[in-house]
Amino acid sequence: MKPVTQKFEEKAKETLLDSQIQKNLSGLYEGFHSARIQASSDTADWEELQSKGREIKEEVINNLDKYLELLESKILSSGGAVHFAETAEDATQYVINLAKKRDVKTVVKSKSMLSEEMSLNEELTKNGIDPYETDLGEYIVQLAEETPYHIIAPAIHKSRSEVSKLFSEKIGTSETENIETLTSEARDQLRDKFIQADMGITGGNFLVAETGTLALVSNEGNGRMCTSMPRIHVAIVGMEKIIPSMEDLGTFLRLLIRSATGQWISSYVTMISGPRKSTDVDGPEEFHLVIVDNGRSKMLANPQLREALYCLRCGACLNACPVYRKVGGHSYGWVYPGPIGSIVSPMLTGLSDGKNLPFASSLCGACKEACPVKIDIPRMLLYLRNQLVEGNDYPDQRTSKLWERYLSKCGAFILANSKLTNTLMKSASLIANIAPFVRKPFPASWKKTRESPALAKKTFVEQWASLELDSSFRKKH
Amino acid sequence: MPDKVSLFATCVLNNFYPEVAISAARVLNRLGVEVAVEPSQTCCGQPFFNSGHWSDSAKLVGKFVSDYSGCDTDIVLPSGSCTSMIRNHYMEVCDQNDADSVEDISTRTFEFTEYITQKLGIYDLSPFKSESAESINVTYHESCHLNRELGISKEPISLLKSLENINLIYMDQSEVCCGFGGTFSTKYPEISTAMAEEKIANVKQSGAAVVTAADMSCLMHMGGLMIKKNLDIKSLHIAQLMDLAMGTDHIK
Repeated sequence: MKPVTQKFEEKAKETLLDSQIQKNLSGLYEGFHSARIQASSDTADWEELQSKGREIKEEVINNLDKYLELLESKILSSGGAVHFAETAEDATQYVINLAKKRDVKTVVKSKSMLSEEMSLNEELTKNGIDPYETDLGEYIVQLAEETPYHIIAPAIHKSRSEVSKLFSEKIGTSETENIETLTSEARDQLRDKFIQADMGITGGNFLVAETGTLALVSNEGNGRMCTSMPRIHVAIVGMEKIIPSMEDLGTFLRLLIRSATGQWISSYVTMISGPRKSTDVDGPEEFHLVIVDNGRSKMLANPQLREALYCLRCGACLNACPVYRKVGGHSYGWVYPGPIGSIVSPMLTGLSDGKNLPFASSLCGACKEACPVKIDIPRMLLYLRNQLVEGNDYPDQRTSKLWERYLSKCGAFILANSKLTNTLMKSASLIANIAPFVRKPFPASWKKTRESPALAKKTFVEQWASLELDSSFRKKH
Repeated sequence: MPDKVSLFATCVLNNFYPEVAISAARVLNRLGVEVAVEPSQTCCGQPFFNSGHWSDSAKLVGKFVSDYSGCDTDIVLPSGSCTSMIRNHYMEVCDQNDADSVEDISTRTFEFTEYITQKLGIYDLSPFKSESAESINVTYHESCHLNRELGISKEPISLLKSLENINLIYMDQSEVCCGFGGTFSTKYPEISTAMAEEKIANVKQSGAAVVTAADMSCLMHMGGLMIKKNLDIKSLHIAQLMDLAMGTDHIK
């Protein structure tokens, strides 16, 4: 997907004016967000689980080489193929070459955000291969020729009447607002594709290194069908999705599913260790695992940002974020929206292009509180802000203007000198008597919707000296 | 020996809301605490830190450290956000030579309601209340940094509940950000305002006549929007409500 992170402000403003989307977004609080809080508070050892999950992630990410090697050897020994792709283009090329070599005409896809990084559908189509999204939300988004709006709920921005209209336009069904009918229409369409498909492409929620197992979490069963019906299964997975053992998978399934939807377990958890064995009655003839970097090693290399790779892609930080609940998914301009997206998108697609994203946060901390592996998102947003302004670690990505830095320097210089500050504040309060813009000094962008506070005639410190209060008041330490 | 604190008003209170700092001082005094004020105080440096200007922030961190090191007085701030800056972020930007002083200062820096509850051990203000205090319907907004960065959530509620004249009404989504976020409010005014609109809708729905919080910046934001909307709901700092309940008869 071509990044358009520069357009954050423009798109955010559009979204704020769209009452249907605003209504859908506000439902996230009572929906996914509240469900997560309920599920985690119902889990007696939730905090222990979180710490355990975080520790495991720390261990894996700090020793990624070792786990990647182990995983590769396990998959090879079970008859699968492994390809390491440094870039999204590299990963796409591998899939297309394979598809061409095997004469693949139709592909069914299970939900994968990484495939959005690769613009995989677009590239497949260009090469004469028809891709079909089989997750209902993704199917809707594909028909609408859009991109996912949310990590786990890609069509959260669409109302049922919009979906109905879309289906009638694109697949010729009669209009109805009955969700069950709409779902079964999509199911009818997709059944044929599953039967036709020569290749199934999935993402992966976890890769278990010790057994060489891909784990997929879904609620619709489409993941299972994509991995069992077509003759070839290709899984494209980000390199950070590795976990050491099957035992760890238990920890992470609980963390992920409860944080994502508030369910205790999803309807399906599919585990795949290689292609069909000689004794298996069904399953794909070939299994290919494409492990993708696409800029992740930049975060791995920076200890300040490394924990962004602990992300399980549960979407809890999006649901918890009051900014996401206003600006929605498309405003962020790339695959990953919301708080975690404001770190990952600039790092994977260019910090200076994505300069708005780290600042598009009130730093309220709801994301950190919601994260199942306690990723300190606000700390990383602050770090990226500092990089954009001062650019010590990424000097070529600094976007702050000279005047802006100069203004800040002046401000700090004044405030670091209390005598100078007091003199200036006294003058300001005198001028304030005749100049309303000094009396209420907040900028126009504030004043348009909010009243500016007024400068006090005398500061607290000035008043303090003359306060006629209890004598103990006026002591200085 | 009476407890003694040094009150750091914060730049927002010092310049825009001195009456709130006075209320805080008066309340502490009524609770038996001797209050001092460092006259050279200005700003904790958070606005610079949060907007990415860390080297400028470091200058103010240095100033704060030189103003408040070399004594063992507790420092009280009527703001969760500024308290969190000192406790959670000073170490990140301070001069390495100041690290020990920052460590020392952050252990004796307290947010106002945190100091009263955890340091003084007072969770019930009823012994200090005045008979004449007017009764008011109040709703409480949980400021983000107080709640999430300092973990102070039950304490201010317990203090408010202990005051008989205050009828505390819970509002929906009281823990959701008001949309202020420092420079966020002017960098993205539309988003910030949309967040405040939602907050105000919840305040309104609670039916309270006053919205309170332990951070004046949030109240300045919510209040600023309520004035523009001609809403007859006041925004008062928790120190002002305590001050009223303890017998001060008029708050601006």
